[in-house]
Amino acid sequence: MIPEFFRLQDKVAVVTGAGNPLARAAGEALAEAGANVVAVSHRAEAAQALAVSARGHGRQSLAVIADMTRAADVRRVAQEATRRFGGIDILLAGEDAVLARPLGDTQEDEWDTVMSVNTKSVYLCSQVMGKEMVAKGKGRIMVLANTMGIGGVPNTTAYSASQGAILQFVKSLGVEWAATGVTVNAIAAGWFAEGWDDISQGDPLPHFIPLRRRGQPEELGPVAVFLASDSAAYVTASVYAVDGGQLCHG
Amino acid sequence: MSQLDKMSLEGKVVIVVCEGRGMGPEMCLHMARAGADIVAAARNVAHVEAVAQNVRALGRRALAIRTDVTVPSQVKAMVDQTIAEFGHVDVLVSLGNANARGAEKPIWDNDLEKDLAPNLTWDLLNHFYCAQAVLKHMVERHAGKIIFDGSAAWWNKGGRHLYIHCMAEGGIAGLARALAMEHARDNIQINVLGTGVFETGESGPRYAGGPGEYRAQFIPAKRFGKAPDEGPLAVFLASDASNYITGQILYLDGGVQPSGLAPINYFPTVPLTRH
Repeated sequence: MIPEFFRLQDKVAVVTGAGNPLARAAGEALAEAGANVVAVSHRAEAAQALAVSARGHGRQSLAVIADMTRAADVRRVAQEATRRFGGIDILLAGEDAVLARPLGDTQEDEWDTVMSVNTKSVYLCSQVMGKEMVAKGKGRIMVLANTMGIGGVPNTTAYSASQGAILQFVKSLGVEWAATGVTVNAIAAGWFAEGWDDISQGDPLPHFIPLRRRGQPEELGPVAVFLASDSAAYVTASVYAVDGGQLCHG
Repeated sequence: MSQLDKMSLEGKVVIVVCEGRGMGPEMCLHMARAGADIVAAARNVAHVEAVAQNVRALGRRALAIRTDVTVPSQVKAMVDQTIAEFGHVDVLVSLGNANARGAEKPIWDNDLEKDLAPNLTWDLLNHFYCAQAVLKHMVERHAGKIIFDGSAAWWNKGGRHLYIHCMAEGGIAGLARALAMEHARDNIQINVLGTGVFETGESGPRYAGGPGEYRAQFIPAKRFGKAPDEGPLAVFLASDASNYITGQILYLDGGVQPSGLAPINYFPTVPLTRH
């Protein structure tokens, strides 16, 4: 039974990147904790799937098909959320494009896609949806990121650069808006069972992870719920790593 | 004088507090080659007397002072003797104990007197004693540098049976930052050399965890650091060319600090996928 001071009763959460398994799991947790969910993806089935899950928790949900790398789409999402639910309390920015390739093989258009999807979407969504949060004097922005924005992993220059960028964005915006009542934090995921690589044929990593296993997407839920709740009003400009101890690994 | 000219240590008096083996002798020679006069302080004075002779052969002044760095009064006496002999101290490099790993046992078996106290002294408090002995003098001169030799990994990462050592390394980083902030206005810069796995110069790496080659596989650069790797960076931090750098850990580690997220041989391939 979720303690009452973690509940998100009737708060409106915009969850972008609904096709990202980690964002979807976090979005489902927000719904389970009481939030109404605006599920956003450039893929219809992904937006619908999260909306259906949210309704399964007895919440209301709206699926919006939109491209969060385009300002006009971001504004449309904000308008639809406001029209349907009266406002936005929470933004879970989960757009994610993954890529692992040696730098020499990283194409320019691939670089642009990774930076645009992972980084520009955070800027656009925070700006558009954060604006009314600031006006209201209250809000929660959580950016889903990866520990590759902190440590160094070979073959991931584009992806790691995009993650480092959004972690720094969070720190800057967190302090910029610190006095407004809008908190801005990052959840940095480590090695999870979905969303990065194909481990169906074998997994080289678990023995190297302090907790000896990958994370399951639903394990991001409680962190997202906490950061979204009124109980986390003093947490801002922070990076909460959910990584089985990986960042501590010597 | 250009910024690059300031990389010289001409006219500077540098104390290197070391074990006499390993990194210390090389450190002293690099400082001397950059123009500094050297005080080599160690428990084994025979080792550092040899260092002093090598420094004099380079045309610099040198003194070897027997110092047990775990005894605050000896550290103070060594600094006082340096000032008496050379007139002042510009730089103190505290190399610490090359082989400190703490007692290898679970924490509940740790004897506070036999394990915790001495290991904390060898790993952390000796740096405290050095800073304590020299800072007031540096404040009075309105100039000075302190360089602590710390760990590239263990100040913010953990490992089996390393709780004392990691506690100490975190402590060194904290000590450096706090003193750096307090004495920045005194024109004193205090930084940490974040050294990775280095050979002691005698045999094997500082943090022995198995045969040398096996251990080196876990370092991105695939080799241990060697004593000559450390000297030049320390010279830079000792010089006036680094007067705007303070409160920092400067890594010298073959890629150890940012690694640890994945095995060394993990070079993944993931096609571009927009979720």
